[in-house]
Amino acid sequence: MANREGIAAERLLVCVGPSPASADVIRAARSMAASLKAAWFAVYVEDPKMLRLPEAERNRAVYNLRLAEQLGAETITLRGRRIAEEIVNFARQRQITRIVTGKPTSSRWKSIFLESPVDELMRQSGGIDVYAITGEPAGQKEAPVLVQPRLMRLPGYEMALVYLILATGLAFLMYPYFDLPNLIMVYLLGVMATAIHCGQGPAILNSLLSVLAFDFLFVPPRWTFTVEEAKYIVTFAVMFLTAVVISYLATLIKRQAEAARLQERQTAAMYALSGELAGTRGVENVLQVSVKHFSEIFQCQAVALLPDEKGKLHVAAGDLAAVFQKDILKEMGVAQWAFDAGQIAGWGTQNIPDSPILYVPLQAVDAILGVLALRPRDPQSEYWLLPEQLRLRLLESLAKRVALAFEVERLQKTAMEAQVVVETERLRSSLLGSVTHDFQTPLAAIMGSASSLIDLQGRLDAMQAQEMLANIYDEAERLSRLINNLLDIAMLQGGSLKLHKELQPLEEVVGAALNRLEKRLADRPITTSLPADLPMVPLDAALAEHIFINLLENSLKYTPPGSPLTISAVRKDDEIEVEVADLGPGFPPEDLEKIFEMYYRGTEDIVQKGYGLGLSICRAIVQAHGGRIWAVNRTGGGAAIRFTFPLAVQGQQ
Amino acid sequence: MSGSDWLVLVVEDEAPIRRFLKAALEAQGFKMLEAFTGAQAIAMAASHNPDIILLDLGLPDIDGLQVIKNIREWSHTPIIVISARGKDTEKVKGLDAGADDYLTKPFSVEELSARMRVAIRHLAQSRKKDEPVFQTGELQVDLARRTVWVGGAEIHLTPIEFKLLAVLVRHSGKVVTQRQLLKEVWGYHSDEQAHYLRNYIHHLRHKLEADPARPVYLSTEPGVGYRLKYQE
Repeated sequence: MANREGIAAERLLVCVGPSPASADVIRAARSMAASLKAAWFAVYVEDPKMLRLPEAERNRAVYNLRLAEQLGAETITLRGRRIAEEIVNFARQRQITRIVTGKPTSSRWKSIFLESPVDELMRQSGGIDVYAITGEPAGQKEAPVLVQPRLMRLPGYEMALVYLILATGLAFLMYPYFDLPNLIMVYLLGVMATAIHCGQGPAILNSLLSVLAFDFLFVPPRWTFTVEEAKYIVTFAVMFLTAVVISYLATLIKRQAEAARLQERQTAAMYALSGELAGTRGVENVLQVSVKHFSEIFQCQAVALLPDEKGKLHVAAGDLAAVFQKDILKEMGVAQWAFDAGQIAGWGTQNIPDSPILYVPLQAVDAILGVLALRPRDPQSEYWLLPEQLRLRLLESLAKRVALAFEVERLQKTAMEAQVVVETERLRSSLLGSVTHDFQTPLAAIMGSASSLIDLQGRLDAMQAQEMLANIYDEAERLSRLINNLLDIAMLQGGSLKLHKELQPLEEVVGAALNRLEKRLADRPITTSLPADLPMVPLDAALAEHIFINLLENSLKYTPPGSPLTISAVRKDDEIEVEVADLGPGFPPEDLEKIFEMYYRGTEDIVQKGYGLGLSICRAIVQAHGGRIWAVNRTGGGAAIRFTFPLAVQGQQ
Repeated sequence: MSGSDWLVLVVEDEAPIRRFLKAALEAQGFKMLEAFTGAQAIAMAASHNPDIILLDLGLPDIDGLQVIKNIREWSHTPIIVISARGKDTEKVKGLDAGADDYLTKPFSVEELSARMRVAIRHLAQSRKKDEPVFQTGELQVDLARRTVWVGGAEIHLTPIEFKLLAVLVRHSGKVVTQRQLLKEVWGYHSDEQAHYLRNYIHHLRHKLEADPARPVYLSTEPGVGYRLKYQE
């Protein structure tokens, strides 16, 4: 192992096979890669021979591959006829510098006839170093490949007999009309049917029995096993051979068709899930959709578990009781394990296989986001009978999709929340600026007046002193109104405002507002036209009162003393339209929309401050009730604010 | 109105407000006692037996509500609570617990005087024999004969309307909470009944007021309750 100088990095490739020893080799390769700080790849070549291996061994190969992936390798599955050739080609493509493989373990008779793949590899590797190692045994005891749920198949061998009988029956029918060679075809048909329907074993049995039956029943001398002419022995041999080949091919095709079909189903499932997830917004919805798909695809009860701030799992979607049934505590423990370890666990896996529930961690890019727990409704249903390789891969890739969608939603939510915070801050600081300004004038007046009274005691005459006092009171009242408005704004903007809507007669609210402003309205003629049959309106009385108070105060500000004010209301379909109007100068026509914004100042230079917060509060309250508000200039002169309250109570309050 | 008989207990922890109250009340002839905490209030109410109690609900030590409940266990002294703006539920709880009326900060001397006058009137009345006929402005209510007159014209009220009016008359000038009204008229309190109550008040207003939208007698204090205004 020469230490290479310079930054030229080593790249490792380890060959993954179906034996338990392969896992040891993988671990050794990982250690090697780590010490060389090299990138490493794990390659599994699926040649046609592999397809014929018993399922348990194929599963082990996939398990080994996944082990390599978990340990940090990039895993690739290649398909080809010659393992060594595929590996070497791949290695050359990816600039592999070392190939790691296990030592040949084939039995003696095999190695006489066939070159072991390792030898072939050595021969073809050219400039790439090949390491054949024993590998590192695992630290923990490796459980044997899990017990698969038993396939419930038709009794294949019995069917073989059935087909034999059918073929024989047909042959008997044809016997008077056809030569013997034609009858052989009938039996071959029987073999083929058995191969397609029942598999290879029964087909071979059928072939054997077909030969015997053919001999016994049709080849002269009939009803004996002896043969008159020697040529029939050749016939039998060829027939048997043909039958065997047909059965093998039929089985192969069937298996491939099966694999293709399942592959297609997988893809469809992934597509469906991805499609629906793409259109789903919101973290809870993503989980609901996922739970729904998983339970449909895998015919199971599913539940999604998410961690809280302390990392403890709790239910986020799905029906916990249906999945966990009686063993909630125990199963939550397993779920927690799967989450903490980031490994698939439970039924049908290596970890805690005696649990009836399967736990799939939701793995996003750099963190485990949660766990999906699945309880198969029928362990015999199609997806659970999938060979483990397909099933677990499907589960994991679906889970990954879910995790990614979830992550996206979560990040979006965080981004939106951050934005809201920024907006709120901005609004708050601009509001603070305006408010400070508005506070300063009344405060200046109050302090000035009061200090005059204190310092200039002897020198002010009675009228002046009285003026100072009146000043103090008026400005203090102004401050009070300002503070009230600010409190309203704070409540309304905070979103924590809960409207307590109750059906009220509108006149009660109007009456209360007029009552509160009694003193200041003393010199004004006020006309109220509220029809007696006006229905009761769902209102938050205190807030609705504010609307009237603000509007009346505005009118007071902008109209000369003694100018009349009117309040009227009329029912329009399913809402009430209210108007508060005066005979003052009206609004500047270009400002009819803008006056509802906070701190809007009129374009004229007005002695008293502009609309400030009053109208924007009115708008907020009206809108919170579900109504609309707008301003008009009256045709005869003067300003009017109109707003609506819906009559129907919508939903909960 | 001579205030020299009356002793007022002011429970207020903020000095500037106490100062103002002292000036205002003493100028009107009341004698004033001061307490700064709830505990003091209870103690002084017991030891000095004031005629009226002004109680600020924002006390540092115990909940004003507790003070009210405590005092009400052994005394009918009128209690006027002082509360901040926006704390309507606090006021209503205080009134339901036994307080007679309320003032909302900031308030003027005029409002204070109005409340004090109402309290005094009820105190004075309780010392005299009960007058069956109640009169304010143009409104005349004969509790014994169950008749109602407005400006010389008799108004016909349904039994419940009359009962409602009677409760308000008994508490004339003072605010009465929804709950109090419901209990005194219907005997129990439920949220559906609140709806009916509003309906009845609405009808009453239309029967008694010249302009129901600008009530002179039956005034609504949103969030708190109703008040039959008493014109001196």
